[in-house]
Formats: sequence, C-alpha cells, structure tokens
Amino acid sequence: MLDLSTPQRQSKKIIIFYLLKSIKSLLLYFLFAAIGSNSMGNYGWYMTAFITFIAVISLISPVLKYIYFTFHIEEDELIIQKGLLQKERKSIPLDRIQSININQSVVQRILGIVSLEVETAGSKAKELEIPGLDRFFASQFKDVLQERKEEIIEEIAPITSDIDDSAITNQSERITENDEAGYIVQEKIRSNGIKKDTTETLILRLGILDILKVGLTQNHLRSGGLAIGVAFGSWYKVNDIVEEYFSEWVEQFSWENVISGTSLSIALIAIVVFMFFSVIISVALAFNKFWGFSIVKKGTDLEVQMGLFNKKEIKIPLSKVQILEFHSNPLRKLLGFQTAQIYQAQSTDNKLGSVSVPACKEVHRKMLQHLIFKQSIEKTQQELKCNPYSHARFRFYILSVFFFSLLAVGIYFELYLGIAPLIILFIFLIFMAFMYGKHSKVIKDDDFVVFRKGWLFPQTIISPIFKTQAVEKWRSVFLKRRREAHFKLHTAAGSRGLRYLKVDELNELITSVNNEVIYSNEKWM
Amino acid sequence: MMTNDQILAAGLPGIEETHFQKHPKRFLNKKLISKVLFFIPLLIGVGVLYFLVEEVPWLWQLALGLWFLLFLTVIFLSYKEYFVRGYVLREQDITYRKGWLFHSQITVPFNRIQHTEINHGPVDRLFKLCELDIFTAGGSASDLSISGLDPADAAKLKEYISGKLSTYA
Repeated sequence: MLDLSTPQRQSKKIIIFYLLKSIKSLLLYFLFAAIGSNSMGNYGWYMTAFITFIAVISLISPVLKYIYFTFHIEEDELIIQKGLLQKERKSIPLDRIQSININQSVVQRILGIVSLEVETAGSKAKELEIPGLDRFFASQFKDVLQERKEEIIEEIAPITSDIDDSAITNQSERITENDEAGYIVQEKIRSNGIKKDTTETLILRLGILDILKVGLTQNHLRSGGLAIGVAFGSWYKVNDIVEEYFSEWVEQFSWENVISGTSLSIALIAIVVFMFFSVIISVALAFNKFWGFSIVKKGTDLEVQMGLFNKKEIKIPLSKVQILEFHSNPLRKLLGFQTAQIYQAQSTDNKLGSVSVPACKEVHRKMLQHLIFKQSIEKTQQELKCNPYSHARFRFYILSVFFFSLLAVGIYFELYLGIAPLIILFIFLIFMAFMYGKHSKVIKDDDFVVFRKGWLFPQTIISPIFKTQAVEKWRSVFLKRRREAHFKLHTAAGSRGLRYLKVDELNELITSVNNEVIYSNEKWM
Repeated sequence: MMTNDQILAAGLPGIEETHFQKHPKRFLNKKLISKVLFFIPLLIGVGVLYFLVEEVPWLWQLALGLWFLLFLTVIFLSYKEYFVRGYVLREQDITYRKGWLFHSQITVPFNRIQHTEINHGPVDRLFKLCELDIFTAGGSASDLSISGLDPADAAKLKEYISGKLSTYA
C-alpha cells in the first residue's frame, strides 16, 4: 500500500517533460529574437537580453514546477497543491470522484511516465490532472483512490443508521453494542466489496482484424476531409520542390482543366486517389485510437484501455453511466456490428464524458446493456412515432432557400446540365429527411426511455427513466396548429430529443416520465 | 392510522390542466421599455444617414423602413411573449413555459435540483424585479432561469424549493 498521507511529489522525469514543453514555446521566442536583434539595430541588445532572461526563466520554471507540485490524501480529500507565486490548493472530496483515468502521450511514453486524471461531475478535467507519475505508482495510486472512495461511500450508510438506532434506544451500553454491530456490518461490506472486485468480466477485446474492420467501416467522408486538409497543408510546403522539378507538368495541370470534360480522366483519378487515401487514413486513425482496445467490467466499474501512441486507461463506475447509445452505418450493418457510446455525467467537456466501444456485435450489445442497466428493455408501454411528412417539410423549407436561388442562377446562365443533378440532390435530401422521420420514434417501457433515430445511420439511445433531470417540450408557433411538438430529455450527460411528435401523446409521455422521476429513490448521479 | 396506497405514475395529474402563474405587469413594461431604449441609438444611426448621404435618398429611406420593421417585430414578439410566459409550482416539481415564436415548456422535479439562486441587475432593481435561477446537475441545458419575478415572490419560491430539496436530498 502507498502512504499518501504526506505531500508527495511527482516523478523527477516530469522536469524533462515540462522542459520539452517550454523549449517548444521557446523556439518561437528565439525566432523573434533573431529577427528582432537584426532589425532593431542598437536596441537589438536589449531585445537579446530580454529574450535571454525569458529563456533562463523558462529553464528554471520546470524545476520549480516540480518542487511545488504536490498531492496527498488528507482525511477524505485528495489535495493537489501547486504554484510558487500564485499558490493553488485544490481539494477533491473522494466520494465525489466520478472516474479516474490514466493517459499517456507519446512524449510521456518515451519518458516512461503517465498522467492521472480525476474527473468529478462539476469541474474542468484538466485542472485535476497530475501529469507526471511513474506507471507503477500511478496504477497503485488509482487503486488507493478507488478503495478509499468505496470505503467512504459504504461507511456513510451503516453509521448514520446506527446513530438513528442509538438515538431511539438512548442507552449508553446499547451504543457500544451497536458500535460493534456496526463494525461487523462494515467488515461484511468490506469483504463483500473485495469479493465484488474479483469478478472480472471481459466484455470485449479487439484484435487486429476487428480494428481493420472498424477502420474500413468508418465514415470515410470525414477522414477524406481530413485527407484533403493534410494534402493541402503539405502541398504548400512541398510546392516549391514540386515546381522546381515538375514545373512542366504543373503548368499543364490546372483546376479549369480538371473541371472541363477534356481532362475528365484526371478528375476520375483524383476521385479514386481521394477515396483511397480516405480509406487509408480511416484505417490508420482506427489503429491509432483502438490499438489494444479492451473493455472489462471490474467489480462495479468499467475499465477501458486503448491507444497506440497516446495510451488511455479509463475507469467508469457503472452507477454513473447515464446514457447508452448504439450507432451504426450501412457498412457496419453489413458486417453486423455497431458502435456503442457510453455517456457519464459531465459538465463542460463533451468528449470527456463519453467512451466509445467500436465493433459491438449483438452479443456484446446485450451484455453491455445488461451490465450497465441490470434490467433489459421490456415490453413497450408507449410508443411515439415521428411525423415523417413534417421532417420532409422542414427539410424542404431549409433547402429551398439554396435550391431556388441556385436554380434561378442555373436557368439564367442556361446551365441545364447542372440543373439536373441539382434537382436530383434536392429530391434525394428531402427523401432522406422523410425516411429519417419514418424510422424515428420514442419508446417508453417500465424503466427506460429509448430513442430510435435515423434510417441509413441508425442510432439507438437508451436512458433509464430515473436518471432524467428534466423533461421539455418545445415547438415553433407554426406547429401549434398542426398539434405537433418536439421532445427533449435532459440528463446529467446532456440532452437527447426527437422532433415532430404528436402533442397529446407527448404530454402523456412527459407526465409519466416526470412522475416516475419524482417517485424514484434511486441515486441517479 | 398509516396508509400506504399504491400510486401508479400514469394516474397522476398532467401539467396541462393546471393554471400557470403569470409574471407581474411590470415585467412587460420593463421588456418594452428596454427594447425601445435599445432601438433609439439605431434610429439616430438612420438620422445620420439622412443628413450625411443626401445624394442617395433611397438609402436612408430603406434604412428607416428596415428599422421600423425590425422595431415593430421585436415589440410585437415581446408583447406576445409576455402572455405565454408562466410557471407552475406543484408539490413535487416546477414547470416553466416561455416563448411565443419558439415555445418551450420544461419540468424539473425538486429531487433533481442542485441549488437555487436569486439574481437582480440594476435594470431589474429599477422595476422591482428579480430573477430566480434553478440549477440541475450536469450540463446547463436543463437549468431554469425564471426572470421577471416579484422579489417577494422569488424569495418565497426559493424558500419553498430549498425546503423541498432538504427533504429529498
């Protein structure tokens, strides 16, 4: 066991880490210094002195940072202290800790250190980060935090009930007896806790083939966009070299040629190249993100590990999971898997609150659902279908702003060849909206609100009713006459909703959800 | 005699048949006056156009027309909005509805409220109004902000909600 009652420092290697960071920013200063001292003549000397001063400061500051950054556990709080001139002291009550993550960037990996991140429901995560710990120390530290946290949470319940008992009996002898009994109860709970901790269930581990599948079925358009970004970025860098050696070829190649029919083949090649690189980038990104992915249920927590260059270890207590989502797309449907998204309570940063589990087969899907929410989705109590025509109508209004102006331009310039695809695209997008509406609905059963959304990219969102914070319905004034409204379900992990539902049914749903929230005594956060 | 009858959630009353509490009339006045005050500088801008760009008279005419249109819409919206804005306090939850063009109605049960706050800015104080903010956990999407309350009412509301919180916490 670690002794964390006295202030501890991080691993000494963190000095190098800080140093590298400041050197990165120093490079810019030196650049300025070089330019500044040349162009300013006599005053250049002052400039150099100033820059040197800054350089020295930023070389010393890593050491100071190391010395003044300490952390320890005091009573039931984790305390982080930092800063020399501006002192900061952060104390985090251990029972408020939501999850403890271990991250490792490339630089940290080379140095052999990891950063430990403590998440609470109401804070910016970056503030509660200890960036430089030895790997072994960090995992021990994590266990200690976890254990202490569980002890505190479990101590609260029996002790308070004991006090109630003794208050009623009001005899001093009884109190000591009760204390003993309470002690035994605690012991039992503790041993139970240990028993619980040993139950490790592996939910999913991804092999190379799985990651390849995930990469191949990603949204290639997004990675294609990334590819274009990278290509253009590097194009400007290599432009000079290219022009020097291939100037003849470059002169022939121009965008006008690509667009006009004469070099249609070049355009085709460009598209093929674009697609090729999109897929390559998708796969590379998937490998970087999900290398060695495993999700394990350990006791009452989910532990997720992943990452090739930037390693991540995430721990989520099962009780803090607010929303479970399953996403899919046509390619993934073919291979028979979905991406699960686990959301926990969060305040500011959207990304931190969620963990995605790629390549969930039907079995994993059921397992996740069962492990996280205990109950399975039972028979439907109420089903609210969206009005697909309203979805299509709304899409029509939005698109027609662009469509009719483009159409007018097209007719004016007699570009009839361009109008045909425009009309097809217009109709297709409206059709997509219609199908989206047709396949979207809200289902409520005994314990859950389930959203089913989308047609080609279906999503299933499952949220336990008792975790709801607030229910909202909203509509624009134009929908009043049509007796339709939108639904929004607010949870601690954000809001989910669907649009264009019948207002009478929605009222009924809102009333029943709200009343069930009022009557539930379960802890929801 | 203790009773413990089973209550089915579906049998509980819906919010639709309850009577929504309106804000004091002062709130409408404040809204309208602040909107007018906001539009006066813009009118001055139109006047500047009239005196400076005399060669192109259609410019200031257009600007004046635009100003008038915007002014009327904004006044109309805030007037309409006042009459749909309202709150209902029930035994276990609070419901707030607002907006005419985009109407929304949100219900927060007391056992999900984290804390409450009363705020009043200088303009609010001028009109003897204040704002009651109700915070829930997690994101800010489900936070309620009931602006334009009578200070005495707001204090009572806050008291009532805080009392409920302690029994549920």
